[in-house]
Amino acid sequence: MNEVLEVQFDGWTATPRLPFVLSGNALCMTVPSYSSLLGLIGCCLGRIVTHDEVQFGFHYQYVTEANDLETRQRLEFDGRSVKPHAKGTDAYKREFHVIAATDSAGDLQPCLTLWLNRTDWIDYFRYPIGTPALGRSQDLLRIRFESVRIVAVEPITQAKISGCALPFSSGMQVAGQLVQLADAYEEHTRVGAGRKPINPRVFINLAAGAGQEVSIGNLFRTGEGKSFYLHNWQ
Amino acid sequence: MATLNNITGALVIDGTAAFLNGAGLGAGEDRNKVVPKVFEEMVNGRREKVPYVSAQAWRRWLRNTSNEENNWTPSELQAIGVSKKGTTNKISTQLDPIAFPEDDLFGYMRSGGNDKSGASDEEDEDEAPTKTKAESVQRTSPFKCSVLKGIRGKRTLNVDEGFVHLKENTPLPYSTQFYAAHLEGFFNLEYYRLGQFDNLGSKQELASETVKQYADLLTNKPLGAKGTFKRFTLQNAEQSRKERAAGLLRGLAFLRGGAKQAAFGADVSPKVLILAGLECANPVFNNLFEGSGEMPSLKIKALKQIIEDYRNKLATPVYIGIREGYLQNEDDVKALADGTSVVVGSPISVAQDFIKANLTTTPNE
Repeated sequence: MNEVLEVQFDGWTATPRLPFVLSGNALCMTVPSYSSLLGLIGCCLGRIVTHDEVQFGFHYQYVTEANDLETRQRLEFDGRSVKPHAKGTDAYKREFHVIAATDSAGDLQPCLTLWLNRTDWIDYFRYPIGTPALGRSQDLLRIRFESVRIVAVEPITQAKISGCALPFSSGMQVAGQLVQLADAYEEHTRVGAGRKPINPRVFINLAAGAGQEVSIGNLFRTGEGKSFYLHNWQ
Repeated sequence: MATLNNITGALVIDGTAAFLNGAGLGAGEDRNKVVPKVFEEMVNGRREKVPYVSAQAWRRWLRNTSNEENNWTPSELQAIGVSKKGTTNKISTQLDPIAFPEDDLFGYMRSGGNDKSGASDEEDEDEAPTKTKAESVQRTSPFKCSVLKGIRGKRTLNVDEGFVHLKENTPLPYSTQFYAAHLEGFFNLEYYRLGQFDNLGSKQELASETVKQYADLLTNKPLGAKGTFKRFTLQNAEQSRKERAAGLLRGLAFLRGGAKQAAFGADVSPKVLILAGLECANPVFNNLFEGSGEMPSLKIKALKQIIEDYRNKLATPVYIGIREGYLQNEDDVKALADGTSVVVGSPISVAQDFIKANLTTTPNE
């Protein structure tokens, strides 16, 4: 592979939700999972995209973390009718990322860069079918029109990378957040039957920043000197 | 001409001296202060506090205003799950996008119950065992919106000091943080999805009972690689789509809501409203305002670039509604009007013009 499709997104907020924590406050991961980014790609294409159709790498960065409060309406059933709960409403805390970093001219800086091996999908990212969002429906992202382009890449064996997720193996000399996640999800064929996880394993999430030296397979560098790990689902 | 698949836009509301969305009490020792929602943004390498209104908060304002403006029956919240103790542990709206425009426009969710074999969540633990298993039903909202956040240079936080006299001569201090800010938001309505419902493996938009109930109003076709999923479309979808989108725009133009109206009384109807029909769903009108002058201004260069980039995907002119005397560069914005690619008027008149030109169902409406 010597060229990839590069797409950059910007926006104000994002919620790469830490899955499996279902009670109490919602928390965020340092970077989004491959499965949710696959969903974002599917949103742009306007259909379900399966993991065997595409390989991609990414770089994600955020500025600060904040907590949103969401009101929960409570009702109670007194045996005859449903009425508002006597204790009133209560509130959930929802952690989210602020991704709005502006330059001196007030223009937004990109928060998410994707590199995909499907250069034929270029028009779907210029003109997405669904509304791109990362996390909740309010975490809208805008695709930077001029950023959607085909760039030349070269494979490398060692790179300084950050703001991405790597499949973890013991002996890796990197610092990050360890999470057990599925690579992707596949729809069952019956309506309402749900999805099945594909290849659950441990990932290490590297926060954006100076970058950490890694030497694993599937590393690439663009002509502009940006290095990334292309996830290959294996 | 591009197809009208999405209605995308931006709005600015005037929140000078306002407290529109609360975040509870101050942190630590500061427990006698009520604070609005705030996050921090990095501006020129410096952290800056930015007041904001959650998307879910102003969506509620918009739901209520749209229902009121169009005499729609609200899709009321109802109890759908009861615990062993008899208290409600799950609620949802009516989950009926055919009878309730609100459900069609804003989506809904009901998580299935009592499926212990699958991905049961913690709240299912105390589910009454006799309850029959419900289907999970979920419609992601065709109307998607950002938070409303303070425009750069136009977002200062202030504190109002108050006293409460529980008994005579015992004044107890309490404080309310509030802001002087102009708040910007952007949105996209996936217009093509109104009156269209997909039942997939992981996301079922119409429950089986709803499909049965409205069988004579719906047509369906197979969907997905294996053709086992279904797409249901309302028979008069084109007409209901126009009516409902028009109703939403009316709600948007007259937006009402916000916390602490008795104390601060802010008018949240948009002072600037930008609307355009697009073939693609990119929410392009974001970060379009700045506040280096006395009043907010519209970044005209950025707007022109957007119009240029998306020229072949714009299904309508770009409608820019501004309240007279509100924008710093009002004259420059008015000069953009050319009658074909940009229409300028008041926020309410552009919403009406948009409806008239693009969402009218009968010639005499």
